[in-house]
Amino acid sequence: MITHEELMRYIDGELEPERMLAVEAALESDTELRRDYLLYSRMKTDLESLGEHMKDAGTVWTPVSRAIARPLGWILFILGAVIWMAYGVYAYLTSADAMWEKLSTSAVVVGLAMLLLSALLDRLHDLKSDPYRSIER
Amino acid sequence: MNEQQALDAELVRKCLAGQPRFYEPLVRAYEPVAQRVALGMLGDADAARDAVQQTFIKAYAALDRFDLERSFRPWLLQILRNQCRDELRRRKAGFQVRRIDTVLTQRLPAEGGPDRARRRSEAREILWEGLGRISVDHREVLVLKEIQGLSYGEIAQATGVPEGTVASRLFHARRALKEALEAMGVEYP
Repeated sequence: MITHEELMRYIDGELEPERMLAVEAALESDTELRRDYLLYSRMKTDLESLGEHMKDAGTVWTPVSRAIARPLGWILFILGAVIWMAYGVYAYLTSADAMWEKLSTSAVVVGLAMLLLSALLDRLHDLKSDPYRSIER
Repeated sequence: MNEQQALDAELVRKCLAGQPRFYEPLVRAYEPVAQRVALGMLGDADAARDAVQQTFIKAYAALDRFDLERSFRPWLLQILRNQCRDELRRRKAGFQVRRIDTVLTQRLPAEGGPDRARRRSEAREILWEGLGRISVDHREVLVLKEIQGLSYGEIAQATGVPEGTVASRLFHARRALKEALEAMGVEYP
């Protein structure tokens, strides 16, 4: 008795030699098995031909290389920015400027940062609740 | 470990040592395989290209989890498989049957006349449409076996099922494709 799995392995050249002989003997005597064998062998040839005719889409290396280099770029940028900002704050606080100048400048900077943050949070909220976000153009 | 595995393992080691330029030979070696599998899974050239791109980016990020004693190709295909399944779930449209000339070349065979070429071309178009009508599991195993030519062992590694299940799934996939073709009114073969 030849199982469907054995027939598949036979067609795909994945059957052990001793079972191959059993399948070949069964194909001689079993009409239904032979019909299945011819059908699935033909299907295999046609599908393989499909693979051979697939178009070459070109390389994806350029976008991949950009993407894998980006984290390092961000790390260096953020690290450098943090060091410069820390130094700037230190230099500003220890400078000889009047206190009212320091307070008003700090208020402008903190206010701008808060506005930017709230705009970013609004945008994030819009993105999450956008009912059309899954629709492709 | 064969020669290819040893070469791939060496490239991965160099990437892990902080030399991303050594990732390029891996991308160039495996992208044709990945593109054929993604196209077979998704049915759409643009979506397939995006899936392949994302797969290589994810694979790079996960290189430290790659077992250097094993083959790179099934490992990569496992990531690609998940990427394609995510894409199919995300867009809910499933396999896209677009114009056949956007995914398949129409080159003529070296032997046989124009009639034979036309018949073969039509058979490919019908099969392509049939592939879109079967389940993702069935399409996946057919793509890996027939379109990409992976062995049962490699399919088992890429899909995470035992080899016996691969044989069984291939039978059900082939039968499902035959039934899909019949439902389309095609007498196959």
